[in-house]
Amino acid sequence: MVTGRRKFLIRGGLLVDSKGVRRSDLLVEAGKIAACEKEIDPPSGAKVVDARGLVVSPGFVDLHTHLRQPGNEKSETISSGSRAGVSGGYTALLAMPNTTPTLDSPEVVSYVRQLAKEAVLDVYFAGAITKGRLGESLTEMSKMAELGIRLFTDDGAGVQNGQLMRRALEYAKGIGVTLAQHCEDLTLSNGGAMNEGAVSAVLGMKGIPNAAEDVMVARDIELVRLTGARLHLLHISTGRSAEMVKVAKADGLPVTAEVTPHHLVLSERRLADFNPIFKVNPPLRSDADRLALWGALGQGTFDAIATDHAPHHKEAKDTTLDQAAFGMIGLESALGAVLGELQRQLADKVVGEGGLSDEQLMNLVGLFTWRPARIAQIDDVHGGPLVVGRPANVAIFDPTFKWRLSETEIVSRSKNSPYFDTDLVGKVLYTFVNGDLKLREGELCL
Amino acid sequence: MARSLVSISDLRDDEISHLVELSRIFFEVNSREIPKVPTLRGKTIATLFFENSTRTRLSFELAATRLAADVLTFTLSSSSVSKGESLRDTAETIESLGADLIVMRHFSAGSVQLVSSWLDIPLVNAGDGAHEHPTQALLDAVTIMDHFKTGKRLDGISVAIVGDVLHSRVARSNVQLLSRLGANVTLVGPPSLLPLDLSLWPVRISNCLEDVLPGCDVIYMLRIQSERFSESLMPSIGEFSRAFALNSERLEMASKGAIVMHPGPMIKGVEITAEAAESPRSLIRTQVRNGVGVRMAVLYWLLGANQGRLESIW
Repeated sequence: MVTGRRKFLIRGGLLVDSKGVRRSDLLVEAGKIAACEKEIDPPSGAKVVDARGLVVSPGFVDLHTHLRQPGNEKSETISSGSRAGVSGGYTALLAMPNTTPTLDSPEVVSYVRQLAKEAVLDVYFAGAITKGRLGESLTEMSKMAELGIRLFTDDGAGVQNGQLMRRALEYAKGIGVTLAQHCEDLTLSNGGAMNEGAVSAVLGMKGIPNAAEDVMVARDIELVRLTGARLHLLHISTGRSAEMVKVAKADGLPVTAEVTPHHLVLSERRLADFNPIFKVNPPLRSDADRLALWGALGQGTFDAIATDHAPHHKEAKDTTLDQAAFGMIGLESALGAVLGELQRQLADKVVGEGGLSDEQLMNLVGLFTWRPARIAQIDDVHGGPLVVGRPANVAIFDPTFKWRLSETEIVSRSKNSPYFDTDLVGKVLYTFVNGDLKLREGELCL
Repeated sequence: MARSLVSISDLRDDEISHLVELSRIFFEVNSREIPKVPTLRGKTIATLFFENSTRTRLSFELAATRLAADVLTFTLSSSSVSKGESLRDTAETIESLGADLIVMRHFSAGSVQLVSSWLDIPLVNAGDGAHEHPTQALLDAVTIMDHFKTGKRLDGISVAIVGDVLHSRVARSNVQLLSRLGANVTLVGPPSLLPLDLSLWPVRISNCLEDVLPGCDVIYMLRIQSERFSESLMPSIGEFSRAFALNSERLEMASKGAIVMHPGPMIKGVEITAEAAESPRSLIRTQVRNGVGVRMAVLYWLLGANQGRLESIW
């Protein structure tokens, strides 16, 4: 490994960030963006990256990653998950606190931040709202906030008790951190393994109704109205929930929401032969819901596309649908899955570079970069813009590249991807993390 | 992966027809003084039941015995085998022991299909969770055909399937098979015991048994398990029986030729009264008897039919 940072000149790419879309060269030096001009002559010692035909964007930011360490290193580690992230264009991940032990105390925060030094990108952590994620008593949020935790969630479960959630929101508001909710009323999901709908009816599987999500989204939006605290809604999966988020935003409430690639691309029909790879929580919904999510995405209802990357080792999935673990990996396929589906939808009206208009491209890049960076409060380092002096966190992708994910090429320690038989479009070829090249021509270079 | 019978949808129309013909041949065998044929001599059939069941297991084992197959019986409590890994171990062990076919019942929907994907021998689904129970549907179809003398079809026959459809594998297999054979199926039950979204089911729906009775030829009662009441799907056994139990008065409301069926085990006094179950219009015992012949047909079809052994039946 070369120590000391090298110089890179990224030439001829289409720059897309919160400032807009433009054709420009980019010089990366000493970890930062050193120059950004229409044409830059290669300085001596600079390695040139030919980005003609490629999109140059801020490095991706994932608001929702399960890295499984500590406690389940068989499925993923901070290191292996970070490598998967770099392969997918990510330069920052927000790791969820549902590890063993739970990330619910300053001691565990200090411990995992030590572990995060093994990562090849910037790993941030979300803390738990309640001790042990049991939904009973609040964690010491201000001590954890002092150590840099900016977002708290019991993800994997929602805070069931309305009074406790109200108190958590009020407390979080006082110390300037954001809460994020996994919206699921457990009395309504009631042990279901997939969406309650036409497919579960035929399979005889216990289903999770849309209402399990919708009632908690409704409750929490009203709690935000009551308390004025910021709330981020994780992995919205129903059209009705998206509609409520839209109304809450129109009312001026400080609510943000994310959607996952799999809820945009896949539906409950994929479970028709009981394949546990497609078991995820919230469940893959009907196509009507899936299309409603695209509608909401088009109207700007969602602030982020987040992966909910949930690695599981083989045995956790190689069982019956009711007993298999919930979750699917997503870091390496996120862009390809979303762009692939978008391309299928736009098949007849191809416009602009790579089939997308500048506006569409900017919206898409925003959902992967600067908008999640703001929610995680890491926009001082991640999410762009690509201007002189900013840390060089950059992803370069080919927006038209068609590919298939194969099990042998997966970087993540777990292989539970739902996309082996789906055409993906758009592939990240280069990832720079704080000025260091970590992915080159689609291959890790660590 | 060998040909298995997991779901009614595994069967083509001509295969259903063929199984009906074979079943009738075995009904004849079963009426002989010595109801046994050497058809599957040397074959080993394993029954692997993760759920308590007496009648279905006995029916399959008797079917295997009458075909001269050897029977291996595995009965496992659901608590001792609750993990996928041990399910796989168990299934692979049975295959390694030399079983030629496994008859399997399991509490998880999709489990039989999963096991069949791991093994090279055929499986017969004897009930997987609330998913399917295809041999029950086949024996029900043949029973109805033979009663109404409709040949190998059920065109124009109206069937009401009554009770806890939501949790019923019998209902799921029967809805598919009976409607494919031409019957009109109506599901009858309270909304809490019917699936929420029935858009893919070729059925009519009613919440009132008495509305449906006058127009049906077959009143097919489903078992209701006591845990449905603790789950608040119904307030009490009494409330359920009041609206959905088949009793003598309700039987009177049905058309003259209508028959009563039940897959068993019955809970008399809950979904059906003893009088209705034992009335001359009840075919419940015929169903049990036919079950053996239909299962012989299925075992024969999966193990012997392609090996030129048909003549040995005679």
